[in-house]
Amino acid sequence: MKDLHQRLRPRGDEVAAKVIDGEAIIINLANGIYYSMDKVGGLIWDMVQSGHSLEEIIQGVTERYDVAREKVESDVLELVGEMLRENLVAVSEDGGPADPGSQLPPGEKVAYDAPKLNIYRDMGDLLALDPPTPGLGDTPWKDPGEEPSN
Amino acid sequence: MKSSSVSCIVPVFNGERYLGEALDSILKQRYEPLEIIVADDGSTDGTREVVQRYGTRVRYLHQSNAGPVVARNLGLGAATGEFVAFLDADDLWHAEKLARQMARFGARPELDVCVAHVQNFWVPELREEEERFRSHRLSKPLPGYLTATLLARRRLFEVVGPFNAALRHGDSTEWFLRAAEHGAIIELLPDVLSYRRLHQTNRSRLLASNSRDEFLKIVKAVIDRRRVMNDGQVDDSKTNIVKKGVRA
Repeated sequence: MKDLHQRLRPRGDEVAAKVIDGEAIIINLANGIYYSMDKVGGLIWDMVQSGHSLEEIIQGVTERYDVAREKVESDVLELVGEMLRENLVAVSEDGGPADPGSQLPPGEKVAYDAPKLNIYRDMGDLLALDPPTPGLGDTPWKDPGEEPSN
Repeated sequence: MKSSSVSCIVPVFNGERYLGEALDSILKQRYEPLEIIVADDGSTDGTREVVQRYGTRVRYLHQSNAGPVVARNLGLGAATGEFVAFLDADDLWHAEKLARQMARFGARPELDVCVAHVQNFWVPELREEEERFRSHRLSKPLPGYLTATLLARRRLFEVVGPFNAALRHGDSTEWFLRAAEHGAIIELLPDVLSYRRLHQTNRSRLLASNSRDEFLKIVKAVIDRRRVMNDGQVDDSKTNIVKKGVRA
């Protein structure tokens, strides 16, 4: 993915996610694999969820952390590639937020750690069943033929 | 192994409609349990009368309405068997459930927990939904890390603790995660031994959106505990305690 004006969106039907204490907790409901990203990663997930483009995300991280833009761009693209491979996000056709910069007030820059997608594949069985039922009733699950194979 | 060491615990709230079927599925077990305990969470329907029909074969406990988790723990606290098993009042067991699981405990003295696969089934009123999900994973046997398949040594609860009553939905999953963190040896049988009834008023259905949030918080707590265990390092290769427990 090289087009920095592209936006991503979490795959809403199959992914449950929430940023808790700055750490993004993400569950792929289709297979029970779960993920976490803290610090820079938590900020990136938050911006993805809010509909920011890759360019806006790179700018946002660069503004907030003590790091060169080139490093951020390379890290963000790598992270995004991994999120796409894990079926956590998809490329969005929607427009971005009305005021892309408004959620990032400038502050003192803090030390930068490359964002990392922590993957926990060892509990798929434990998490596969519960929560299954949010897919029932008013929130239809995807057609099974479209399930990602894992 | 003598045929008298399993306590069966059935938490129930206003479950008159299906409770009889649940109790019958326990009474039809090829492996006869030591006792059946119904923990009534303050029902206002005919739940008590349903239990009374079974006479002395079923113990009846009652509490003011405090939620299914508290009721399950009430039953757990009253159990006297070496082993405990659980069945929600709207679900069913296969007649071989306890026999096949107790056979595993006979074969593996080190085993702490035995679970099996679970099959969802829809009430006739939801036939349309059943059709829609016909080839979906929810219609297929699923690994049953939930209380309906759980057969565990009762003493394990002294180590791992009871079900977390602060949770409204994910208590079962949270307990399994905790058990695995304590190094419990868990075996998953390939057999479908429990059946989960999907009806209009499943708690999980009513609480669908809340349950996702609660679930994410449970996962966050697990990650935080792992981080402490690993001395600040979240490294997937080091966090295999669950894998060891579950796959052993």
